[in-house]
Amino acid sequence: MGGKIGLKGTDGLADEAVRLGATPIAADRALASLKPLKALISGRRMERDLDWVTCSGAMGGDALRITSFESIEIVHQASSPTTVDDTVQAVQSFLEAGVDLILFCGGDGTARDIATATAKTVPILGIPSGVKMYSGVFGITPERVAKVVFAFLEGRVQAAEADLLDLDEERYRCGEWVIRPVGSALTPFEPTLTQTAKAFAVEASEAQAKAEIADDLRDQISACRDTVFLFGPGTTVQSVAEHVGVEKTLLGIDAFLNGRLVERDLNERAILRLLGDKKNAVLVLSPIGAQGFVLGRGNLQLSPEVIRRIGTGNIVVVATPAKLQRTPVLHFDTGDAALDRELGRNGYLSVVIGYHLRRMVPVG
Amino acid sequence: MTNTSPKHTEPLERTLYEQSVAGRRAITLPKADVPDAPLPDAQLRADNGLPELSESQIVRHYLRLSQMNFGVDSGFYPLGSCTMKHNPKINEQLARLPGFASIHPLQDAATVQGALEIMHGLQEALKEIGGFAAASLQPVAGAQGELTALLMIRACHADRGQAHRDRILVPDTAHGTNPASARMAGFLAVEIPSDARGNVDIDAVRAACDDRLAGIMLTNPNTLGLFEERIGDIVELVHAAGGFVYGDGANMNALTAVVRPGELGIDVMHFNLHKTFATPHGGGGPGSGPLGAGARLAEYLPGPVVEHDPAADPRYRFARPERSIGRMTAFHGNFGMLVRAFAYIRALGAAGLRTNAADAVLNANYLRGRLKSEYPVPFDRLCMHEFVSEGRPEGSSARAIDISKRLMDFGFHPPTNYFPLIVREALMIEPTETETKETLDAFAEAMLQIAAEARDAPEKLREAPHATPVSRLDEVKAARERIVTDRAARGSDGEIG
Amino acid sequence: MVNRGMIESRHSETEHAEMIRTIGIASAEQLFADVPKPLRFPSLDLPEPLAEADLARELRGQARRNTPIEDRPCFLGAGSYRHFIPATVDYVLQRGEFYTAYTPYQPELSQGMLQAMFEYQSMICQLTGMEVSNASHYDGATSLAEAILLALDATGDARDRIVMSPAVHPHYREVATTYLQGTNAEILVPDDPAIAASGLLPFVDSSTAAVVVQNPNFFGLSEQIDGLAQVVHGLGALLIVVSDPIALGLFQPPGAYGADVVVADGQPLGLPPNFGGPSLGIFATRREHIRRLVGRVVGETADTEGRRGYVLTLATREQHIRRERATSNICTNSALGALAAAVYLATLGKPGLREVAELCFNKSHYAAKQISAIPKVKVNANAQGRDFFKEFVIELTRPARDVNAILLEDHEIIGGYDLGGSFPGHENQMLLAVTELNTRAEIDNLVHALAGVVS
Ligand SMILES: Cc1ncc(COP(=O)(O)O)c(C=O)c1O
Repeated sequence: MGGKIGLKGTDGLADEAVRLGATPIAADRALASLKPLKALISGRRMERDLDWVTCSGAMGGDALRITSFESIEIVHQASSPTTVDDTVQAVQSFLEAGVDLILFCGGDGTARDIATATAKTVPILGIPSGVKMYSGVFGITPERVAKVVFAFLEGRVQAAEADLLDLDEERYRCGEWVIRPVGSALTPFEPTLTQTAKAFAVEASEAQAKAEIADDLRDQISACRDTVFLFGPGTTVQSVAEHVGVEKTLLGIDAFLNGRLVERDLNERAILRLLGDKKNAVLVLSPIGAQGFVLGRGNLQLSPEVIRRIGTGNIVVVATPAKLQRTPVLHFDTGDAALDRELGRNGYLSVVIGYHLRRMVPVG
Repeated sequence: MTNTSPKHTEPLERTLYEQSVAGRRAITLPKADVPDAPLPDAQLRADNGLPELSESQIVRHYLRLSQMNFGVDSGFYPLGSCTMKHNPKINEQLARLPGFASIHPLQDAATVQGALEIMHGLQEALKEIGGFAAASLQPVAGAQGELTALLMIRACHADRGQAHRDRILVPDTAHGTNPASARMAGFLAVEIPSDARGNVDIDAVRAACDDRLAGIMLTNPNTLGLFEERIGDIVELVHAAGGFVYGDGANMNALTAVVRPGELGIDVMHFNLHKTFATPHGGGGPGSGPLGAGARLAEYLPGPVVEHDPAADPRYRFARPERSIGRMTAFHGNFGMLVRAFAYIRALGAAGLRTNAADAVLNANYLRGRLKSEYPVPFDRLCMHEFVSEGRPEGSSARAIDISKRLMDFGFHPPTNYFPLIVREALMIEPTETETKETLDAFAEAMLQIAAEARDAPEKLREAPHATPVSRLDEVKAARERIVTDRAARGSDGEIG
Repeated sequence: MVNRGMIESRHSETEHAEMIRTIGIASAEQLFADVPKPLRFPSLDLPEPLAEADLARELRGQARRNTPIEDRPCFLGAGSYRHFIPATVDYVLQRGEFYTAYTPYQPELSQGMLQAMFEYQSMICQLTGMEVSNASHYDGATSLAEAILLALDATGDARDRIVMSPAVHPHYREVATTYLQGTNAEILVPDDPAIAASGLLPFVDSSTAAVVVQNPNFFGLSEQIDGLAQVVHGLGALLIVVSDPIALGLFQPPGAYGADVVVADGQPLGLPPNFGGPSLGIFATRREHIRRLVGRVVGETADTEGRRGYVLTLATREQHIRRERATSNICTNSALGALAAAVYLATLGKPGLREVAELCFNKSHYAAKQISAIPKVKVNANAQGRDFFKEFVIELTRPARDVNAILLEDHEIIGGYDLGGSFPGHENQMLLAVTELNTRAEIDNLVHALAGVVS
């Protein structure tokens, strides 16, 4: 038991999140994993047998020191600001040091860079802290990453191959949301603790199902006059919106009132400003397929404050039956544990899956 | 069934229209014994578009068609959820007696006392078997029973000032008619997942129980063939939340004289007479779906129902329950089916009904035991009258549909495919109690042989069936071309149709 | 019979033991372990079982306590009719391959039923002048209810009203009303039962999804329908016609005068009255509504070798695929009734059905004429000059109920339908049905008897 882990901390990705209206959280995320891990192993033999290799400063060293791990070796000096080259070089150094696992902060882009560099020689595991995290190498929450690492160190979980997915940037610039596979990587795999890669199955009836969800939503919209409807990101919500008769951006959060567009691509502050303290709002979201995140992935604009303002009872979650079939469990990861608990307080979420049809889906 | 292998381009049997020759007739009608009345010319049609054939043509046509059809009388028919048991022949004879078949629904009650007594007797028997306070024989199929029951629940909530209760919980294993009925009754259906043992996920039920709950639709045993282990708790949760429990009684064959659904807390349930009580399925109907209801919903039952008052004249009469939701069919339900079901229950009595259930369950478990090594059963526990296995034998790419088609070559009707939706490549097998052990063994042997073929000679499955009048049919072509009437009927210009 | 405590079996002792062993349980009772113990194996208070011979005796006895209309002068119709049933019909219905089969989900084993249904659809389309027919609904009343649901769906959310002629069968109206309890829609029926179809138009507006007329109507009258469809369509609504399939052998099909959906009860086509059921619901419409058609539809296709064959098609409309979004919840329907109708129509054929309709027309007109000669009895008093087909209304000097009792007791005649049952205030009126099976002698006897009753 025990082993050597390479840690690659925050890089420039956090800036992207900031631009979308979130606070820089990636640094916190590393700590949110490392602290519980420390607690899990403290007093055990593996605490002594665990060696870390990492990069300087924000790219790993700081977080490990704050968590007071002992055996830390800095094998890469990060440039400032960090670049893709930093990541690649760091991973090279980790491999030379003979690590058993590479732990990293970031999103799909980082995962892809690291996977290329490791070429499936060692498993990699992501602490979720990017904007897009569709790949199957991310833990569901930072806390759960700690559990996976612990289980890995104990030898309870094996490395398995997982899909790497990423947004097709080219087509995204043309307004299309296409997630495509970009390869695969090894990752410590425990089904309930690691995200399964977003699946791709497109069924003939998908379009039909979305039209029916739209019919249902239309009923709700007409029953709630003068309520702001905020449509969240993703293809499901986009095509549902289209059937409802409003035009919606793919990645942004757009606001509609009585069937008319109010504002596009709102960030956190804009949402709060729009709602003021009077307007009623309903937020329409769809979970990320397979992973099941409703909040906390790809919609960082929806900060805990925004959710509280809207009200946890005013979130309408939509998904086609086929999407839910590969998404057995839903997750909330707003960064505010109390809010996550409140959102999942029933243990289930009632998801709109068709016209006048809901499904109770467990919340993890 | 024989393979008559004509030239492939030639149809197996020409249609009525293809055989039609102008001027041919099969029947002559009575001579007019009254003077002709002047017909309103403007309203007449030139041609009613029917074919013209002789009687022998018609008889041979339908005889040949019958030989291209497979019924329970032809062989083993383990079509899950449909209870394809033997239909006793005496019941056919009795239902055809003029005293039953030839009575008019609007005749004076005094002239149909025998019919009313049978209906009353059946109402009483269903109450006794189901543990209900009242019964109505109006619904003419299971699905109509579902709709009726939901309308009753709706009406009762409305009467109690609870019209806002608009949600009906429907387990994800439920038959497709359940959510469709919920929608027709104006409810919003909330799908409840199944748990790891194949039961309704009770935590999801709990999470869905709120002040908008109207009720739950429970099939017990459920469509996985499993008895809901926590049915008592589910009923309690739903009742505590102010909802009603509707029972889909399609699977009652497992439970007759074993447990009364009413005593399990079911508030209203439909019986499928064409399943549990052996009325023939008719190639897709007619069916019959009477309802039993507990005290809280009894007065909402659809009417008319038959009442008995020994002191009155006549003693049996039609009446409407107090707050009846109304009529569901033009007259009194499918009386012809009621006679058969009544005769069936009369012949068996309570002991026979229990033996039915016991043998149905025994036969299903026996087959499950014999097949599960090759056809894994995802929820593997003792089953009731049927079980659902996965039709994808280890080490082969065969699918449920291939196995089904190949079964035909062995002289068996396939099980139900792809239902319930939560089992991959589902094969839903319901042997019923009327099959002998030899038949079950022969079926098991065939299934095991097919699993072996799936590995060693997969083309035998892919190309199956081989021994039927036609090979696999192109359903996509049918859906694309949508030819739903005979070209020969439409004439060469294809105008109508 | 193997007896094991609470559980008996029809398998032999050795078979039973072997099965129990294969299952891996100790006793058959274990199979029911999931059933709550206190409720398990209730003792049911049902009559003792009967041997086949005793069962036959008991039910024959019950049958004798009914008065069948088969061999009696019968003038009762109102939705269920005594027509002749050719012997071919029951010959075919009794084939076990047909009546013990179920829905033809597996087409390779069901070509017989599928082709018969395809031919049924073809003949129904010819008769009604529609383009697509389903393979059957439960009965005429439920067909109408679902035709209304089709119209509500086809015409959109803003239309939630049905304008229905008061001369539609009152029980059909009741069934449609029950079916609509789950919707916001309502049925508007003008009060005056004698209103003509054109009199419905003032009630039609932008909230109307459909206009429903019956032709010939419940009182037997033919409706003046020319031009009605154009006006109804002009207002954005559909025209639903409830028809009598026998009349269609002779008269204009509803398709010819613009109907969008045609429904009918198929009992006259080879089905005995069966005390009201099983019957057959006929349901046909235009091709543009094919995706809204309820129930099963059979389509033509080919097998892998190019041989013609038939399958259930457009299943995505149906409940087992669409579930909550299905056009209807209907599953089991009236396949055997449709088979009976197909054999009946094939046997009667083009000239035969026309002749049956002519006989009904002539005999009912003869009866009406003879009855109208009875002093104090009026025929179609509220519909002077209107054409009728096989039914008409007579007005008597005393309650129809009493008259029927006398007709039965003193003359063994089954009289007409007491209109007071559905139309309060019309207690002295009865609806008489005359078909090809009513002989001139029967009619003359009825006239004679009526004359005696009212004098
Ligand atoms: C479980 C279940 N529920 C309901 C039904 C519907 O019954 P019916 O076909 O009589 O309408 C069926 C019929 O197949 C069924 O299997």
